[in-house]
Amino acid sequence: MTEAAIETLTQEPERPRRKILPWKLSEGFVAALPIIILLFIGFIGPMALVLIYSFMPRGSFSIPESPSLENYVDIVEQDFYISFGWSLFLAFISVVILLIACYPLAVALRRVKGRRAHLLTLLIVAPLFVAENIRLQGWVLFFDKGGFLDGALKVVTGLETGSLVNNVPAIVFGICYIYLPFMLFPILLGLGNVPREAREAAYDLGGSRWRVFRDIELPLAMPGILIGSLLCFVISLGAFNEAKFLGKGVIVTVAQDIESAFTFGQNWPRGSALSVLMIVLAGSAVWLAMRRVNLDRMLGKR
Amino acid sequence: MNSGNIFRSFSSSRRQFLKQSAALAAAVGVAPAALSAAAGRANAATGAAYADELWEKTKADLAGMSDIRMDLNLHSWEGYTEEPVLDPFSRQTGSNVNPQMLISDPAAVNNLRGGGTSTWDVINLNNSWQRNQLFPEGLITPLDKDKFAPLYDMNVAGFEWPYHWALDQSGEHLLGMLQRYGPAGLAVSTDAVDPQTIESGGYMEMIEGAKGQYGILDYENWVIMHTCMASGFIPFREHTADEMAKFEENIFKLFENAKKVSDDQAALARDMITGEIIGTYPGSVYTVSAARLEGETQLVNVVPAEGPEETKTAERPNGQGGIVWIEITSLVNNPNPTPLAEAFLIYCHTPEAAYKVAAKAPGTLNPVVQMGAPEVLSQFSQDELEAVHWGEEGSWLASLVDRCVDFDINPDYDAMHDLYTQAKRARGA
Repeated sequence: MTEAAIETLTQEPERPRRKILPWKLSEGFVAALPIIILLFIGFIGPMALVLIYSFMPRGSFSIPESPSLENYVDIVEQDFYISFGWSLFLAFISVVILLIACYPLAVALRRVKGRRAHLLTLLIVAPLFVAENIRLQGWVLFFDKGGFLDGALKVVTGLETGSLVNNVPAIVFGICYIYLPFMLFPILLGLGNVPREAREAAYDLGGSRWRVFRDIELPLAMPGILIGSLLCFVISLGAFNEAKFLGKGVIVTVAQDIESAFTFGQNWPRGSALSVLMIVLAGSAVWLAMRRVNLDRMLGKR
Repeated sequence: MNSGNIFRSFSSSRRQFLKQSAALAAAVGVAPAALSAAAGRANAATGAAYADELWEKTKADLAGMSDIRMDLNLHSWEGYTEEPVLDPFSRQTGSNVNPQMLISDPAAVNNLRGGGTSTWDVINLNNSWQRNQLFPEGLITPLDKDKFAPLYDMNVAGFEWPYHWALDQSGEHLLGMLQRYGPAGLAVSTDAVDPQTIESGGYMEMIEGAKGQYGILDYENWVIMHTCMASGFIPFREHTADEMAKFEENIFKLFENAKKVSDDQAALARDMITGEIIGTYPGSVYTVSAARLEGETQLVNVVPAEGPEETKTAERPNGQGGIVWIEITSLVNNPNPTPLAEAFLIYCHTPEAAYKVAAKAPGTLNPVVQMGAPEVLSQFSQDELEAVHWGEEGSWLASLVDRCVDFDINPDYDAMHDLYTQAKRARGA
């Protein structure tokens, strides 16, 4: 091989020259500009408005008023801690139940192949195409006194269940039912990160079922588990219809308080202050979780 | 639904209740003429004929107009937002109607205050908003009195021209047209409780006597108003510290003792039918009328026989224990108005449309004041009249309305709403 040839081979290939825009913006930024504008108008703008409204005095229906902390003071002084407590509890307990229910289901789904897998996925996804409140009303008619369960049991056995709604477990059931796909599919994706060979190797090396689960499956599937848990926690915090339809007033969630403030209460500033606190709560949960894990590393980007 | 219930409607307890309701109405000073509200006014028939004539003329005028906006934007309670009412109007005028249903009166008023006058052409709210808020703030425009006043001839007794809530405070301007109305108090199932017990015991009979057995129909402003009545004062004035303390005590008691809280009147009616609850607080004709039409005539609206001291007069020694709402439809002060708005108000007075407004809303039936006109009344079936508590020549409904004060604005609403939300949250504490 001649020196010239060697030089040619060792020479770094000339990189395509990056086209620099006259105003020094990267092409990536320019490409993302439409979505940035959309996010600003559709997300950050309203969020900023809510934040500003939260400092407006009661009775304000426009922004230019003297800012005040009275809404936050009212929230602390009144018994809003009850609805915050219930929302947090419902979100936490629902995530725990969904994790317990969805993990084995996801493992089973991973092992089903072919058309049966498609059919099962379709069965899980299908309810998402029906409005949430219609599905919840269906459960009310199923569980309520004189409903399907009560009526059928009475006809068959002579026993009656009475009303099984109007309680906290019914609300938890509703939340778990509605948000199940939001936990299941991320876990399914997470389990996709667990190579069958790794599990087999662990078994070959004498690992017990529990150790393989703890040391191999769980860490590898953790990104999916974490994403599913965060997603379900945040959306469960805003649970409204479940408490309304299945709880029938047994408790009040923060989302219901917000709705009441914006509608019958005609207290937009208080509704905004409650919304800001909810956003802070949800944001804190995400921040705390993300602080403890490195999602990039888990997803194999680094 | 229990088909057997049709027979229950003729049960002795119900007959007795009806008889005694009429007797009580007479005792509190409702004159026989007032009880026969269905008879309406002598020239009621003239009113209906005038409505038809005016509608025909209006359609002809519209057809001759050019460069008018052919979209009508309607902000109203259910009843005006449904196809049976809107489709014939759209078809006959060639217009496009965009309805948006209200969620509450205050929310709609604030929509207008927040710039909704540029959007809406017609607004339909409970009485008092127009006279006390919307007109003084320039949010609605008056109607042509000469054109619209004769339509009041269709109305049942008590809603004749000149009608207080339809006029501005000077009495000069006509601010809107009346249509649906209804007494509000409590609703009970006569299968579960003797309505006379509730009627004579009033609101506290349900709150304390039926502890753990009733549901709250959670229309927040109405819960607040009825809790004022339960506390012995009307909601529509400023309240003393003692009255606010009494309100606080009773609103907490109300929520603590309730079995269910729901803003779904159909679900609560179902709960009354299955025996899950004995009644609802509050309750009105419209909250039970759909179930009654299905044959569940054991569900009835009850208005407490005795009202707060301040409602007692020589004419009504027992006072008024309920609250009657009357919907008034007005023209929004839209900077780009359309003649379709006025045309819609006229259309709603034609007997066919008035009947549909009353009977074709989703999940509810309501009486309309135009039932004073035979042309309107004759369109109702016997079952529909039974559903709206019409009674013998309108006497049942008239006796309920007579025991009610008129809906108005509560100046202490903000403070009471705070107490209401605290009491509601305390259920879960």
